[in-house]
Amino acid sequence: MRRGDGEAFARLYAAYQGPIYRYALHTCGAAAADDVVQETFLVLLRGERFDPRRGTLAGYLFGIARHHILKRISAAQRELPMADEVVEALAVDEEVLDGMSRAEVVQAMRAAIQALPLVYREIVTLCELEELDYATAAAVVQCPIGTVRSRLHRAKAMLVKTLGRTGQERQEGRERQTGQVSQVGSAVRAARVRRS
Amino acid sequence: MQIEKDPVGSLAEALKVVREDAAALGASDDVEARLRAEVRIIGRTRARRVAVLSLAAAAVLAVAGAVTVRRAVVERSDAPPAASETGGGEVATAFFPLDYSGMPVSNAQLVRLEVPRAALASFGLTSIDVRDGGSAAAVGGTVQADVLVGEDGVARAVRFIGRIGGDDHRLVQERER
Repeated sequence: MRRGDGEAFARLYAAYQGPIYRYALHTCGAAAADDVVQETFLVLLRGERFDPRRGTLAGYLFGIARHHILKRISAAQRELPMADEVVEALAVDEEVLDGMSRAEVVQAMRAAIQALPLVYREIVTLCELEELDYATAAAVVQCPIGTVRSRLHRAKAMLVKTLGRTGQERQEGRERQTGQVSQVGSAVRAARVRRS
Repeated sequence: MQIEKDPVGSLAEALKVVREDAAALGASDDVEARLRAEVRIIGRTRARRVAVLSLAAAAVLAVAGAVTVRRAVVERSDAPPAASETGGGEVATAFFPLDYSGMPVSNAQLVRLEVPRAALASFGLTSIDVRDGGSAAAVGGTVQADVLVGEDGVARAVRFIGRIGGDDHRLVQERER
């Protein structure tokens, strides 16, 4: 590909542009996702040669993408990991997704993932949405595998909590809506009685 | 859509739904077009570089070849010219070109002279290359030479003469080997 082989580029691009795009989409938003893909592949074309002895190609590409993503996210936005006790407190068992449509689940989950601190957001994206193995994910985020596992556990706990709040708000909204409907019904009935 | 009621199962199912929903998402066609253009530029640049390097390599090989040939020619011309029998019981070296050997010559004449033996050194010869063992001149430190002189009186080439037989001839032959 670095020799200007168009077919080799096409094969590689087809295999990896989607995962890189989605990783960027979930971690820094749709506005930057295209740029991250472009910059990642430009580095592959022009930059340091990929060395298979140092890891997988997927890990290498996600690593480049992460570098560009972090450049786009200011230090203030790179939220710190939460303390263990806080995370455990968040791990509440709730049947949060019960009764939602597929579109509602997607919307709620995306919002919940976006609400996660970056260190958890990227782990959920890499391990759960892009299904990278822990070793590759650890290479991408440059931390031990154990840290990847613990971050993923905390991230899931936070997602449950966030979705629980969402579910509660939805339920309250339904109840308010039901109450408003019944109030309207009572008013209509009262008006009919007065008219008769 | 109904999701499993187990909370962990629900989350896993929900993540799967998000994964499937996003599976078709990818970078825009513009990104691919820009990257393909970059690949083409890299290909062209590389082809140009390969061509330049090939030309440079060919030039280096040509120069190296020319130097090698030139050196071989110079070495051959530096070596004592092969000796040959001239008749009359003499053996002679080949002609050594002199300074004006490049000038055209007609009606040249061969003039035999006796020259100091020290003159051999200036042609890369040693005293054992040409010997005149029996002659009185040899004893006196001279050696016979045939000088090719043009009608303009300018010497073009010279060869040195030795006697056949005895040490003189043998030494010349050994030198040739």
